Amino acid sequence: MKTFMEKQENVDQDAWIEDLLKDKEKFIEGIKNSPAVIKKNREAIEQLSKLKPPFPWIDDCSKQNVS
Amino acid sequence: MNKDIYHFQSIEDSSLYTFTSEGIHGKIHKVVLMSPLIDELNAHFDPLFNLAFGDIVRLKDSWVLDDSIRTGNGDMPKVIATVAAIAIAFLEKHPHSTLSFQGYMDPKSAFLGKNQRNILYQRGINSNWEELSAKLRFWGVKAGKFESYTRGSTYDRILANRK
Repeated sequence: MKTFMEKQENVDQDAWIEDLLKDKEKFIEGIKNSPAVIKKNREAIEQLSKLKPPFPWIDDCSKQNVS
Repeated sequence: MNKDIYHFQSIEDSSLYTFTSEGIHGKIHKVVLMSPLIDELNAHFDPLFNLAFGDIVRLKDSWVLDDSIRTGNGDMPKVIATVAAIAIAFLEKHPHSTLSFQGYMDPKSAFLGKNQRNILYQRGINSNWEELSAKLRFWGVKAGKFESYTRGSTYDRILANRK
């Protein structure tokens, strides 16, 4: 059961989000095109594309499938 | 997650989530974004999403995610537990996806050659290991190689998907 404080916290958050989402498309576009996000995605691709197989999850997944 | 977490909301197609941290500096609005990484990588991950997490910052008439801010709101365990709960919620909605994440590398971390944010995130993973490892598989990237996640090791990047 949620306490009064937790319920209040949810109400505050919901009100804030409601206000934010008056301009939802702009908010989403701004977050997705944030310089930090673009930089992080570029770094992830650069780092991960350099890694070579065998990948450990292929082995892990095949074990998972067998068990 | 059974731990104390913040109430969070999914904004768009379960790839963008927000919550509000409440601590010694007041209310700080946070955002978690899962971005699809579409290129040759998907042949191995099918599909792969990069997790970005930070404060919502208002800039003129728009908003941005800023992952460089050290909020110091005194609620880091609760914030990390919330991000972990969001990652689980995302993977439940996208059961065949893999999540990749790496903490922001601040100048001090770069100087020391240690990603302090990754250490913090890993502390969060390790302290919730029983619960997280029951639901998710983890891998780490270290020295240019993947390996199965081992508590006690420090990684440059962490990947997780649903069991």
